Amino acid sequence: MGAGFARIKLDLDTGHRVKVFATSEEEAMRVYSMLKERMHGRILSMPVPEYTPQNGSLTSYTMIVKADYGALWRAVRDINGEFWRDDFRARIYSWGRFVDVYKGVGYPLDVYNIYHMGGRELYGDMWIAHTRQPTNSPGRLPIWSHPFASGEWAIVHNGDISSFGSNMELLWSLGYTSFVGTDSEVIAHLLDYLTSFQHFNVQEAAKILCNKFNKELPDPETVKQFYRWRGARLDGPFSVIAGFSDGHDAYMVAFADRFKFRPIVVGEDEDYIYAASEEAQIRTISQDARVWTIEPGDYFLASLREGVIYPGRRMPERFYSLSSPLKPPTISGECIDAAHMNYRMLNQAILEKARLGAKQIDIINVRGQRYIGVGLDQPLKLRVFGTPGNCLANLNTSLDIEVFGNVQDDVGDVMTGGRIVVHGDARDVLAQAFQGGAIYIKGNAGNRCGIQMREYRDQRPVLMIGGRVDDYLGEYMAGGVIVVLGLNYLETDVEVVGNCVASGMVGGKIYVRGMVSPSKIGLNPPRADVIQYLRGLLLEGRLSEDDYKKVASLKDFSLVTLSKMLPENVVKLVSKLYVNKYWKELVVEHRRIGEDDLALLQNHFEEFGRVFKLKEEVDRVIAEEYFTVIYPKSGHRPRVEEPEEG
Amino acid sequence: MSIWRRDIVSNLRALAGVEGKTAGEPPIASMGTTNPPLIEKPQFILDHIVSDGAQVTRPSIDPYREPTETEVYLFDGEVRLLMPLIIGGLCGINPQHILVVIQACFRMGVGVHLEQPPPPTLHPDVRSMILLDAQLSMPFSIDRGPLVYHVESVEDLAKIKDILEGIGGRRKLVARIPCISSQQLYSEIVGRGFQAVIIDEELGGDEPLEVALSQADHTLKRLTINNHPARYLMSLIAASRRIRSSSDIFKLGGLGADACVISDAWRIGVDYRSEMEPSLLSERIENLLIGMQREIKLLMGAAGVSSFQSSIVGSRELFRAIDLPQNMCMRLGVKPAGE
Repeated sequence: MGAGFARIKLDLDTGHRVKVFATSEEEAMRVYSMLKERMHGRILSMPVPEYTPQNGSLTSYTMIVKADYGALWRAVRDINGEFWRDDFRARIYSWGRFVDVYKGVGYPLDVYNIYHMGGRELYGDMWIAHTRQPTNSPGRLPIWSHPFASGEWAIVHNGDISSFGSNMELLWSLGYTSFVGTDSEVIAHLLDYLTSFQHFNVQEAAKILCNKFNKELPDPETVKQFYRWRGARLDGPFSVIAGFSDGHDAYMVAFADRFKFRPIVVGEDEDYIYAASEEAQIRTISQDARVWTIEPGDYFLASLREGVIYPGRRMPERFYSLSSPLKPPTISGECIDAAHMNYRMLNQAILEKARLGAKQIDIINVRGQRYIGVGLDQPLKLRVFGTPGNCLANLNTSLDIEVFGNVQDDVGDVMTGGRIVVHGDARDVLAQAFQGGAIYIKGNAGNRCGIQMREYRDQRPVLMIGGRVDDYLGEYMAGGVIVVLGLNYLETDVEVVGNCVASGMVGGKIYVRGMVSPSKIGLNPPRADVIQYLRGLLLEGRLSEDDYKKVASLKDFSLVTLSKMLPENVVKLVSKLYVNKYWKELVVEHRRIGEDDLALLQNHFEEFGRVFKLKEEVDRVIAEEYFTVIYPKSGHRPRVEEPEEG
Repeated sequence: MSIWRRDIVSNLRALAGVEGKTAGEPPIASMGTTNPPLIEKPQFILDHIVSDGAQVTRPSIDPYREPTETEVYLFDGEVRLLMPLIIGGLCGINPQHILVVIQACFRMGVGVHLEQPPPPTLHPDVRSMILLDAQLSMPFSIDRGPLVYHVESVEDLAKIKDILEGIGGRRKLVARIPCISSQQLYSEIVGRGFQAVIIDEELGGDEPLEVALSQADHTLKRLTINNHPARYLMSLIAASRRIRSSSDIFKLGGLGADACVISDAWRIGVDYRSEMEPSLLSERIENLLIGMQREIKLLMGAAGVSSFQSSIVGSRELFRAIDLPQNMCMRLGVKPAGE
């Protein structure tokens, strides 16, 4: 295990705080004299030990240096390089003026205790905390614990970046030579290099690292900049929270990878700005914070002086009022108070009440407990007050669960029956492999909702979302119905779904309120590739100038759009870019809700309107608004017995 | 043993639509492999290199349902190829067919390497994707496309110095060099304003392509242009008649190639014949390129990577060597398997 903390503090500056892990005072003194020699004596303090090591582990020492950053950076690199060859008996792990890192081996509380953090009145403008189960580094020494610091940056990272080799190549070419060897430290180094030596601002640096898809880059200048700094772009899974100070302001940056393979949420209340892996962590500090998530491949930026600078979404999130429609019941024998329970205790308590024949159980003060509702198979109503943890109602067969608050990741996974009602937002991977029953979300939901949903005979799951969702809605969907109402974005032209809707869909039906851009449905080749192909045909005289111009003037199109605009032979040619052996033609209709749809969904619309007190809105949307309806061409027919393939 | 093993030829032809009924579709038979070095006998260094697979904490990416970027930019971001591929080996092919190849490549966003000037009527956009061997006697006003200079030594560069000074800055300049690792030559190439280097095994040299390429990548990373590592402002291209497949292109990418020039591979793949119908040639090239792009995407997806240029090119950490001597691993910058 490893854990650690970092604080960013504007008036911390008394010089660069060089922090060293060393096996003994002697080694710390060696670092001191090496530093002194390279800094020409501008060291203000001897190494001061921060704690007494236990079990022969490394001790942290601090010394203060007044120096030009470039000279200090080189000295740190050289000293670390030398000690790395020398069985790492010492390593400098932090050297900022405004950054202070406390990290070690053990649980967060252990680290808090060895640094005596409780008794030191440590104040900061921003705090970062991290705990980990090491998967990619040995973890037995504190040098591998998070946060990783470089210059005025401190970062924590969840993930395993697949661009690690590329990022290391860039760092080597820039003169970095000594690493502890994790993919997390490169993130700190890249951010520090871009801001300290290339003078990018925080926003520009974050944009390069979080690495949106090329097709989303706004102009050729950005393309060129991203090309030049391709070695700093991150790929593979990551969510990162970083703190930085330039001496005038303190910044919080949070970013997620382009597929959003790792969770991240951000939040804001009157006093603080938050970023975390799970909402429950934010709720530990603030009951009232507005919490939302970052778009895939985007970054969140806030500062002490300016507040939220960029919300991590191209469109600021719209919320329903978080005030619960129902006051939590008072603590009594009839309800479970989860305030001091871990997930095992809570689930045991639910199980015991259920065994005694309870028909309804109220649970209050829920904060991050996982697996609620898992393993119960009798009809039972659960009312959950607070923020339940991941994997709520997985494998649910019979429970009717009502949540007064937001839910986290992976709700209703492989659910085959029962119902989940959420008076708030849901996060990523909602209703994965959902195959029976109903899930209603009043607010927004995250990435990969309803992926791999399926139906069997009379079991047809229905997922209804009142707000908007991010990418990959209904990916690999094989059955059931998803409805995205986007009620909080009515009267706007905001599309209430992200990219790659219905990618790999083979069955079921998706309804999205409003128009969905054709290129967002399924996986389409980049626009530039299609235009390139058509331009080739134009230059060969196989496509008319008029036809080419018609397509080139469109910002967004799909194969269906093209087949309506271009001659048949051209469509046949260009379809090569779209169609492959796994491609399934999707029917996309833009229309109002009709009789057939109501036969399928009427009960759910009514129930959704009733439980969320949104009847008027739902009725009006059904009667007046256009929907984009998506289903596979051969799909959504009553199931007939067929031999299954492979 | 021919370098064109039966399974390699058959795979290329299936992609091109010469064999089978699924043109453009990478054949996937089963898990496991019959490939070198463990089953078939390895013939080149490339055969000793394997790609790291995605694993639990770093999932694979399904390129049929999620975006994977095979595009690469050349010439400091100004030319965009849809995939890391350039078609070469067009010497001795009749002019009508050359035009067909150029057109098919343009549609598919693939570069072309030509030794003789293309038809002067070619549109400038098409010309911009053609790397043309420069003749010292050639008038430079004819077009603005990339020009390729054959350079073997610093002396060669001195000879064309005046020409370069006359046109430098207005042209995209490419140095085409044999498989040699000369720091001094690279330093001169960078200093003279070349924006790309083709390391071409057909020009000879004293190193295998893999080594020369990897060394060039690292040399250019140590050299600088305005304090920026030169490699990140320049393109590096590998060329050899023995580049056989998408997997070779993928591995050469890992050793530092932004793109590869293939020659025999495409001719064998489309079953090229001098008398073939231009439309058939055009179609087969398209199929082959689409198929190879899909194969590259599958390889990227299997490694958990979604961008070829930023995550594969030069990213040696994603690769491992099996049964290569330690000094060879060092020169390539690739760790032995198990490390």
